[in-house]
Amino acid sequence: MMDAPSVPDPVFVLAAPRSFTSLITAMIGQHPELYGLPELNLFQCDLMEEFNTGLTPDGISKSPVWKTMRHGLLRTVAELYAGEQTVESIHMAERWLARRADRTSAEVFHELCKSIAPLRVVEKSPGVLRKQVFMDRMLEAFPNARFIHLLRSPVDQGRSVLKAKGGIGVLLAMNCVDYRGEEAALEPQILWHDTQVQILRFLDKLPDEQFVTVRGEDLLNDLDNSLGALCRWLGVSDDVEAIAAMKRPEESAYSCLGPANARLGNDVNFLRSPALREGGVTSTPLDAPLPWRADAAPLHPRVQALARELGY
Amino acid sequence: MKQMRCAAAHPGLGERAFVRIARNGFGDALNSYPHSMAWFKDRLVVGTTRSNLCLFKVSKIEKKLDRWPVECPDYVYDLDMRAQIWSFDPTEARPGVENSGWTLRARAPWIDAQGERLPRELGYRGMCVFKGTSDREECLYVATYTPARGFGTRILRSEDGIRFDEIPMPEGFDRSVITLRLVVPFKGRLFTSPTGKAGGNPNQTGQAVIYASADPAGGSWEPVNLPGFGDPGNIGIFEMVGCGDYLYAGTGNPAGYQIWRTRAEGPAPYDWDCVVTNGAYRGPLNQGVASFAVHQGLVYAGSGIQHGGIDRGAGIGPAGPELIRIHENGRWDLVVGSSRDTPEGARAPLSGYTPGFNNLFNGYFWQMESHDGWLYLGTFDWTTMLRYSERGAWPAPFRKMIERVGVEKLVQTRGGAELYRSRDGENWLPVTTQGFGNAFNYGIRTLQSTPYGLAVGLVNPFGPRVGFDGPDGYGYRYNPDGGLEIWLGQKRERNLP
Repeated sequence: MMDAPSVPDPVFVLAAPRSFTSLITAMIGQHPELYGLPELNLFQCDLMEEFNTGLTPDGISKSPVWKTMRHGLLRTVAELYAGEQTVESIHMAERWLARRADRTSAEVFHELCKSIAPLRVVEKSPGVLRKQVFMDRMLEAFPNARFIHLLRSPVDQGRSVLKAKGGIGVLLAMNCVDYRGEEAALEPQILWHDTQVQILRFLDKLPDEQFVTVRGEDLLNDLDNSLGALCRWLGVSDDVEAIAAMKRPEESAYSCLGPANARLGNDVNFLRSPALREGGVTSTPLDAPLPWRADAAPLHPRVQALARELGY
Repeated sequence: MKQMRCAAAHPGLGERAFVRIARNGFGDALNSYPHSMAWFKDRLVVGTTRSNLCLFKVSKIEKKLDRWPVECPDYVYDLDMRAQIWSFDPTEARPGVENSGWTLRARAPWIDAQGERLPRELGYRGMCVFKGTSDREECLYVATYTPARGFGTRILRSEDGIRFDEIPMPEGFDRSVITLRLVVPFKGRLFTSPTGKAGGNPNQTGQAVIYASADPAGGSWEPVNLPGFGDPGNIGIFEMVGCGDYLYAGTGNPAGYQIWRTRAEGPAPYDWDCVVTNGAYRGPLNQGVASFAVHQGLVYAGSGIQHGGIDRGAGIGPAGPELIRIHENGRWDLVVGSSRDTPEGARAPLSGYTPGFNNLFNGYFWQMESHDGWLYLGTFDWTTMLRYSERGAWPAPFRKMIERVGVEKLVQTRGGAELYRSRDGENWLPVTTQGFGNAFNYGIRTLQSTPYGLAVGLVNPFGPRVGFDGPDGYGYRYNPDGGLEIWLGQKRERNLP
């Protein structure tokens, strides 16, 4: 009897929002041996019933936007099992999820990996970074997964969050507000800082060979070399065709808005404009005055210190 | 690797992939059922049954219609009820030209039955391609539906798809056996079983006997099972299919269908094993196996309640049909249906759909076909018959439910047969839930995989003149949407020439 083909462990991208995550995750996922998924948000739940209802076991709503946080998984199931993302195939995906209400999120993630094998799953869900328990669940499900810690300079990331559609909502949801002045003000560097701390605490649990830290600016400014190095680290082909495929993130089935009943699954700004625009990506100095602050103050010293530690 | 990515993306045939290649019964709306279909000598062959609703009107089957849906003469044979066989040559079809590419190949002859001129056949209810030991090449074998006062059902054989000859029938097929639907090849033999008798029993003979012959053209039929498999409750064999090493046979049974299988080896009668009983433990609501298909090595069985999902004579229904699938080891899964505990363990529908794909008006899962990696399932949907139904006979809860929506709104939004598709047999999604936009297309009786795509035969007996509510009351008028239709679904890279 032949052994069942092995299912490769997934690759998870860990990053704060607006850190080139959608673009770069989609690029990696376009490698011919890999398969990029939208944001599944699975590990925010233990049981799938929680995922399906959006209620914690205590009956508390998980998030005011939980319905849209389900879009990525719905689109994935529709694509994998129906070969299309349409209103009808999303209904089919809802039935698929309902049938799995008593399973764990880990079991469902494994089932998806199995259906995608021999391709290797690439996924990122920024929502999972909110709590260590979510990240631990991810590690428990896939103890041999690979992790890519993706970075962007805090000044540019903060500016991007404030500019992006939905960004202010993210800041409010994450309570990224500076209360020190006379008036409370949105402060995106809090989001950058707290997310990095969460990620670093998580990575502390891993052996060095299981994760890699990548500055998004470096990757985008030197695509061929950076993508090649990433491929070699992942143990997949770094040939010219593979790199060329990675430069076409717009060809992913998920790099567009979904049907009316599952529009998102990723950053809406990326979904509307998913193509790679090659060219220089600059990085604002850490001590520059912050454009969003009325007092023109630079980054908080602790944020600056952490950014320097991470190579900025 | 790239092929894997493509395989994951293969979406199957959606509604927009289908085009209509025949309508209005090929221009003769009395052709109401595309009752049989086969791909034979580079052509799609379709056998019709004529004016089923007029036949139904004069039959002894109990019915509760207070307004007859179509205009019928007092004497049904005033209509030309001679069954027809048509063939479609895709290379002769011209886009935009209705019914192009079709040729009438054969028509049933008239017979003299004790002074009454009758068509020898009213319909061709089954069809297959098979090569018997004395056949020079693969032949087309056709199962017939004959008048109650005729000579009894026959199997026809054709070498060219034009000339059809009767072949010797098994013993037991006397004049009272008027119809059969099964001609099924397996391991070099042709299998058949009587389907219906005169006297209002088009779906039961009381003879659940299967016959086999390696040389049907020469006769030599032999019975290969014990009558009814030893259970008098099995009133007929309704479906058969070969899968791997086994021939499967599905029965009709008032207590719930049974499915038996055999390796069809050794002297007759063969050894048979019962793999599903008591209608998969749903009981009478799974009255019969209406359809079988093989997909990715598994046998799929769709159920049904005869006479459109409501068997008034037996007091069964209405209830939506179920879909199960059977593994090689005999274990079965519930795919569409009601969750339940069974002596073989708990079963919940893998698809998440309740009976009838959540639609009470689907009377049976009538036909299935595996095509290009996908399994397709067509239903019979009786929503359109609500227009003509005797409303006073409706149970109060049902009447309230219908009145809340309104009959016409229901027909407009849900009328027409449904076609579903699934790649893995577990996860299903609709292709059409409205008979490809024609509510009079109320059933999908035939599905045929061809090199040019998936052919879909839609039953439509609502012609030539259909009943309607006019200013002067109920009357009949010409129905531009009446008569059987055939649709062809194609992947985009291979369009009709």
